[in-house]
Amino acid sequence: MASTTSGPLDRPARQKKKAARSTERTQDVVPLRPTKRGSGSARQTVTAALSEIGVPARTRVVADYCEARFGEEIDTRALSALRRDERRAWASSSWRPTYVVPALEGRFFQPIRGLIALSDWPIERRLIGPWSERADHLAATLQLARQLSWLSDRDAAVAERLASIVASMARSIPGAIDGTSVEPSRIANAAQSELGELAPHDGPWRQEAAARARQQLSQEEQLWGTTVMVLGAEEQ
Amino acid sequence: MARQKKSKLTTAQNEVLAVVRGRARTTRPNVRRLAAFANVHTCPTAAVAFAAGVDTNRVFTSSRFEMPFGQSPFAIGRGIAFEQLLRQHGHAELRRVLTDGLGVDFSIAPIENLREGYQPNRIGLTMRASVTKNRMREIITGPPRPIILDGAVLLAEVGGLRAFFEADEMAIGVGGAIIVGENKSWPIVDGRPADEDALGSALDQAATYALLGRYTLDAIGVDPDHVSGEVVIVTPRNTGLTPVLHRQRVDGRIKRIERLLGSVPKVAEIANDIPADLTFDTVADETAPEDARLESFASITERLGKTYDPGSCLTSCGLAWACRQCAFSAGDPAVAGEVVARALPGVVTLGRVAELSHGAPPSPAEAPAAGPIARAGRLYGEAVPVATPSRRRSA
Amino acid sequence: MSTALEAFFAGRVHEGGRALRRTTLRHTHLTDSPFGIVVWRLGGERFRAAAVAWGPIGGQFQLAVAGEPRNRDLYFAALTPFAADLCAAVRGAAAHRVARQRGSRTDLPVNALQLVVANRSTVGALGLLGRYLAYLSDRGGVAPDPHLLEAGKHLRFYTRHARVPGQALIVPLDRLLADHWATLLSPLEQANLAVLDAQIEPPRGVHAFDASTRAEREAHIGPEPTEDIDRLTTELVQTFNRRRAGSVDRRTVAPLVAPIVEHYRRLVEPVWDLMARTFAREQALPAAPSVTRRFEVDREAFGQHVDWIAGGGRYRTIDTPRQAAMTLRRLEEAQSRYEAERAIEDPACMVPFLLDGDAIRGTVEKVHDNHRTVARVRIVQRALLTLDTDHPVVLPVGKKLWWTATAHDAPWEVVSVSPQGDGSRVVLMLTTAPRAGRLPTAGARITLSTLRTRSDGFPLPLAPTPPWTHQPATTPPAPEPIDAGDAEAPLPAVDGSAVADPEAYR
Repeated sequence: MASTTSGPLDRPARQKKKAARSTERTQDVVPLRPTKRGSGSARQTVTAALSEIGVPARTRVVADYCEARFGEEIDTRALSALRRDERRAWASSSWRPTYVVPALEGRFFQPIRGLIALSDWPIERRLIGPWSERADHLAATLQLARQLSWLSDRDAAVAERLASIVASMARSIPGAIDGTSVEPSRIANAAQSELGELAPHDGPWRQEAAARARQQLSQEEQLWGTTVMVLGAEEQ
Repeated sequence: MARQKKSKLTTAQNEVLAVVRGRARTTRPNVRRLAAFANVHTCPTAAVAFAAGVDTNRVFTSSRFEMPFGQSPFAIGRGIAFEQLLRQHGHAELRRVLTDGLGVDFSIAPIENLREGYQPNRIGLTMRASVTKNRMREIITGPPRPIILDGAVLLAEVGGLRAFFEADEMAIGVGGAIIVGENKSWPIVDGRPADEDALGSALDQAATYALLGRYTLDAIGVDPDHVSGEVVIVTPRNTGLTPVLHRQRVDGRIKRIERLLGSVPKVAEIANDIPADLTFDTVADETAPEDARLESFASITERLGKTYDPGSCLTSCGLAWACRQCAFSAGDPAVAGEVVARALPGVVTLGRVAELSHGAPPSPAEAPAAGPIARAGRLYGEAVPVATPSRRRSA
Repeated sequence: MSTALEAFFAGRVHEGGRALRRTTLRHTHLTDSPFGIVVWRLGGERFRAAAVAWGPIGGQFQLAVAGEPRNRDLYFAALTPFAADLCAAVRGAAAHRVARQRGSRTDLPVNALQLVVANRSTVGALGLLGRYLAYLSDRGGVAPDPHLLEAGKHLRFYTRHARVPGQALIVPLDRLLADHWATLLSPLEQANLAVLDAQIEPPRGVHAFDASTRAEREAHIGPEPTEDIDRLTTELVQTFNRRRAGSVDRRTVAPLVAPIVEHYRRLVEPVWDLMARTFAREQALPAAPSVTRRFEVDREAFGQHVDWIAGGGRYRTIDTPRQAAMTLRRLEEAQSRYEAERAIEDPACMVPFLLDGDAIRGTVEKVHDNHRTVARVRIVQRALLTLDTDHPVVLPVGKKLWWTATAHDAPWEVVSVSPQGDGSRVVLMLTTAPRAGRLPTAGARITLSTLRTRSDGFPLPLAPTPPWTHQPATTPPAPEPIDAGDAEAPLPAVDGSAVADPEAYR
């Protein structure tokens, strides 16, 4: 039989240094799930959350979703820092596949405080008209209810946390909640039904607003809105 | 060709860059590093490191993120011996190989050896650059016979910063043209280089010199096209060290590198944009625990932004292993390469890709990418029934 | 390649912590007695194998270490046993022939010697070594051992044959694994066999990514040594050279070379074990049917080569433009055929074609085998197949598709496509007489695709370097020896720390 495997090649000076450091090296054998990073992951988590929600959402809802879904707490300070950092990142020479941007109102295209979206979504989805907030709330509830349904079989702990968020979102939807039980399919149906009534109004409004936006606004304004923003000592 | 504006950094900008560096070891730009940086120039973190002069190969010294670099002493010895051979006896071999390869008689060409007699510091480099520039300028008066500069130095601006770039040799007055030459010690066998990757890299370097040569001529009002788009690589033939010359046009490479360098942000702009307390100091601290160093690096890339792609980064940037680790920890699809990353617009993490492949309902933002992935999951599940069971992610 | 499939793999490997199989079958022939070779070169010296290990995969290896491989006498003395064994193995494998009536050849070796190496870089290294050995000159009037020249020619043949798609004469294991497994590794990262293996079989409780990054730091495969490895080598070689004081006498040299042998043994052992383990794991997977056909092509090339060597033949070393064009076309066709066979025989390999719309899959709703239609002037009997697919089909009427079970036969033509449930109802007509064996049964799940394996559509590629004697009259010059540099003294090694810019010599 072949000779037994020897260990890694013994190397001189560098190896000795590394051996000394091995006590500090805690990551040689790591758990199957990659460990979460501490600070700085807020952006990643918020982006993932928005992607899963799929429509503009209140920062509070996004933060709650991050905590329920990913177990990561995002405090308000982190969120306002994020808003500022994203804008600065976009303005600098760096490039990211997507940025967290504010949703925009549909007349003057000013950014709406507290309502966030992702920059790689088409502008239709990021514009808010008379029916849009409600339609987006319904769409988000629908999506989260479906998500909850799917997760119930796979991850009971997350499903439980998500259920309370879905429940609170569903409270304003007629027919969604019966008594105290949270039934994802019932909620989804109720949300879908009301959404069906709004869509014929909201859809065309958004299309028209998007056409105007593309015509009137610069690239930067289409993402960040038309308000002059003051960042530290810089002025745009 | 656009003239480059000369700029100097203000004291404040220099201070910012010093803070960025911290205790990280520094390095001066040279053509190889420039060609490597061209591969990763869209990455803001790489751009900042480059602007601050941080030696990315050494930032993670004594940690598991230190990427192997360095060469076998035999390889280095071979390279040095080859260079010495070319220069022996009044550059006899260099003359011979240029004569045979370019079809121009170099046997009595004057050779100006700029490696000898100049101070090995910035003053020496400045003088060598001046001599080089003057000799190059003489091309327009049409010198009576070709001359060779051994160790030509080009002074050029990259990102608004002036740096010295040393070429192996430069032949001036070859049919009215200036030809850049690179010496390499890997062999040519049966007329073809033994190593295609190494050839590509050498051609990129030579193309970068040619481009910088054109900038130099342009800056003194001489037609830059005097620098030929054809470069020569001098390598040994077969076994042993007998030199032979390989000529190749690199116009495409020159264009590519010019485009890339043109988009390198000015160091001054970078310095203005860097957040005040951003520094590689902790990352480079060999006494700090490895995880703290990685954490510090992660926060730098979070704040500046990064564009990790294994295809470009692993061969060009010493931070790639650390960057890859961060990408993996965040579940970033980039860790698997650009094919995968581009297939997933609207989907942010690999964890989510896995869920979608198991049939999780996609949001409106995820729907376009999710359809094919879910289908791939179904088809694969039907074809390979004994697949890894999906793991439950605990909270 | 389907990007959606690659994204799927990335997500699943990330989730599960292990690589996923790309295939359900093995698409490369693996013989029962493969000949393994590991090479470690002297840094930067492309013709100097500082160590060569060879032997049966899964068995013991022999090790040839010259000590100072830049010294011709020591180098040849060390390499000769390897060369002799290689020659014997090649001739032995070609000795048993079987009669065959096809083509211009009437006999075919029963088997062929399969070389197994750790990675594609080793194939390149053996190619250079072969070029050097095959045309050694007589230096100082001393003719080199003829086994060296013959082995050089064998190595050149093998490394050129490596280009043929689907070939199995020389198997770089990094490629074998990458073809059969999906990992989180980019092509560059996959070139290290230990890294690939770590993602396929990570230690318990360790994620594939962590296992492979560790392997990347710790495992060294060769043939090119790292700086650390060769710092050791430098010391050992310097000491060796000093002690032997110019002697090349075997008895003097043998005890002095022992430390260098040990140095390379420690480098070879983990690679050898890795090769044995990965080979055995891949061999355990059942082979796809066309593996035999492709190896038959390999055997033919192998037989031709051995006959050639026996006849004192020669190869050109440089492709002429016309030869290169012919070769390229043959290689492209071989590549298409290889991909078609893989997908047709292996449902996992068909998945990317299904995703890209080049294949459809569904349940046979009914087969009508007595459909009458007019073909040109006559009324002929044809079969109609109604297929209900899971996914909407977008194909034009008249498009020809082959059922995987009859991919060597006639195609089906799309007659109509209409929406049905989540997918489509596709009606197809067989373009030939509906004999038995050509018709699927109702209720079966089948796949049809644009892939086919009709042999007249794919001329079998001959060996990429046609033998010299098949060319007309004029005798071409022999490839020149490239060993002139052997006369030069070995160059002194220089450590990177002694040089201002070591990277300049890369």
